[in-house]
Amino acid sequence: MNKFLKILFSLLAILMISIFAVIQEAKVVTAAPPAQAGPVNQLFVDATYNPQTKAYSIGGFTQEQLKQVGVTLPDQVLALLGNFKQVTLKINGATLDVLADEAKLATLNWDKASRTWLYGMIDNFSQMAPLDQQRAELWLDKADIQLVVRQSTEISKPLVIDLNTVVNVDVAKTGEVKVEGFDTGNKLPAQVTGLMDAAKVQDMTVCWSKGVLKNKVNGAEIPALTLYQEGVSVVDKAFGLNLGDLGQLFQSQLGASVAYGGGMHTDSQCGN
Amino acid sequence: MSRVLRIVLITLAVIVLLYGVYYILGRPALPIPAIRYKVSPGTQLYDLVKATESDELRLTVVTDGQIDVTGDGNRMASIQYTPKTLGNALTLAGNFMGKDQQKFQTSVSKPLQNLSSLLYNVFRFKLTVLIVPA
Repeated sequence: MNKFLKILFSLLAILMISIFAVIQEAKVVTAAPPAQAGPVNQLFVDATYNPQTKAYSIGGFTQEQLKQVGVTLPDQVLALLGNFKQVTLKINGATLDVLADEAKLATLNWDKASRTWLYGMIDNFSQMAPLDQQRAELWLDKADIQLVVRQSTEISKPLVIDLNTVVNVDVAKTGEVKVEGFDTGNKLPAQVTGLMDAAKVQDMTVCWSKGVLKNKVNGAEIPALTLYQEGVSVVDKAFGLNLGDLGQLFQSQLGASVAYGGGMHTDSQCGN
Repeated sequence: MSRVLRIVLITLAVIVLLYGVYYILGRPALPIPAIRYKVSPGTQLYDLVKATESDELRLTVVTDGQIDVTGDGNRMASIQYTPKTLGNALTLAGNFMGKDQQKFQTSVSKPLQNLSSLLYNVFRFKLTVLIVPA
């Protein structure tokens, strides 16, 4: 028995040391990842236009699909597009390039000073409310935006949305919705605002990042939901939703900070 | 040392030893026998099950914070939680209870949080529910 007790306590001692080693290993501090140097807001929009049929497509969506969500291009714009085979607008870092038929037309400075000048011009000459320059900087300071408009009979390439900056959405108690300070003219149904009142929501952050949906309500994080494209296809088939090809949705990253009834926006980013 | 005390101490030591080995191995989820759940026609869950080729959905709950729904061998959806995020979700659910919020908090939310915390931090289990048509 004494021998057994000795073995048992020896094993316990080894165990205590092992557990201590495991805990210490878990506590090893790893260096924080370097601050993101490249663009944090990426947007790629491809649009095609057929001058013969005057049909167009934007971001992988056909003209009919765009019409259903209220997106139409005015005739003047279509007439202008007919003059070029391809027009490209690129914003990357400190420069804004405009290319026509793949030849560089203009390169503009897109640094902070240039942007500040642009905001001032917009404030002076537009009839909109003054720009929130801090918000504008958050969007544009580190942005990789590419807009390509080209003559073609094929459907345009899918939209690429990869935004770290969350969109600020303000919802009044009566349901009016403002996005980044601009009144959308839309109103949420009373059932939705009723739910938000019942849940005592003051602010909410929603982030969709390539299939992962993360939420914070009143600063408290709730369990993350991950959707898989194959699974959504099964749900689509089961309930006949006709969602179509969701590939680009699962490649996108987009978030919103919703402030309800005067609540405050949270300082958060999508994808972190 | 009395015989009873010796037996108690040895038993405790063995339990600590076994748990220690379990801890060092990373606290793997101990599987619980699968449960078969039959859904009747006329429900949305039935439609969902029938939409799969195998006519079966598998719900796997692992108490280390992962809930998976798989069908035809493919993951359809998963939820990742920690005791804290689960508690936040329960608090949010409690807000919808109105006058019964306090009762919900004491009879459902708190016990569930404590249980999930125990199963998350101490012993982990894996429960599988096979959802099939009736």
